[in-house]
Amino acid sequence: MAGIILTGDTSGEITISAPAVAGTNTLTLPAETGNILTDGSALPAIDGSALTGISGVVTASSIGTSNNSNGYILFDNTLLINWVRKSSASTQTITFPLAFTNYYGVYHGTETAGGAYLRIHSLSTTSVTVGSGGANVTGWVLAFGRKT
Amino acid sequence: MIAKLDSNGVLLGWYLDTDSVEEPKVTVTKEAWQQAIDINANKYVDEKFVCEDLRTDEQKANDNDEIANRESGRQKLKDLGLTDAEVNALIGN
Repeated sequence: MAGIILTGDTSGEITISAPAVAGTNTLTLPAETGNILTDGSALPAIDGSALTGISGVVTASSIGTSNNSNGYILFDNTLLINWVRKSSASTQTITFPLAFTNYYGVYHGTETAGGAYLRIHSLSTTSVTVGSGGANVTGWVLAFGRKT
Repeated sequence: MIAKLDSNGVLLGWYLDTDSVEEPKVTVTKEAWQQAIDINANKYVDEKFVCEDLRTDEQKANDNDEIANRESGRQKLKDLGLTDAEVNALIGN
C-alpha cells in the first residue's frame, strides 16, 4: 500500500495511504487551520442555518421539567400551536406563550374524569379565557393558528 | 421574549425578540419567560411576573352564580327522583 508516513514529534506515526486501486483522484486539503474529522470523531456544534435538504424547520419552546409546563411550537410555514394549562378551578384568562397573528381554533379537555368539561369564554390572538362546566375543574387548552 | 404590557402592568401578550412591539413592553430571558408562562402570569409587578385574579367583581359574581345555579339545579333534578348517575349523565359531575 503506497502511503506517506508522518512521524510524531514524540512518538508514533500516521500513515496517509491510497487505496489499492486508487483511480485518478485529487484530494485537496482546506486552506485553513483545523482538524480533520474521522468516522470516530464527535461532530462539533453545527449552525443549523447552514443545513440544507431538511423538509421543514421547526422552532419549539423548551419543555420545562414540570409536566404542567405551557409552551408552543412554531413551524416554518407559520403554523403555530400553543398549549396552556387551566390551573385554576375558576374561570381563568391565560396568555399564550407566543401570540398568534391569526388564530383558528382551540381544543380543550379536563384533567378530571367524569362529565365535567372546559368552556371557552373568549379567544384572542394573545390569550384564551376558559371556564368549566359540570364542575369546577382544571385542564388543558390546545390552540392553533398562524404567526407571520 | 418580549412581554407586551398595558399601562398597569397587565400582560397583553408574548412575542419573539424579532417582533415589533410597541411600548410599554419588557424583554426577558427565555428562562424568565418559561417561569412566567408556567404560572400563567398575567401581570408584571416590581420587575416580576405574577399571577393575580384580575376578574372584576361582576365576573366573580357571575362565576359564583354559575356554581350556585349548578348546585341548585342538581338538587332540583334529584328532588324529581333522578339518581346521581342520571344527574351526572345529564349535566356532568
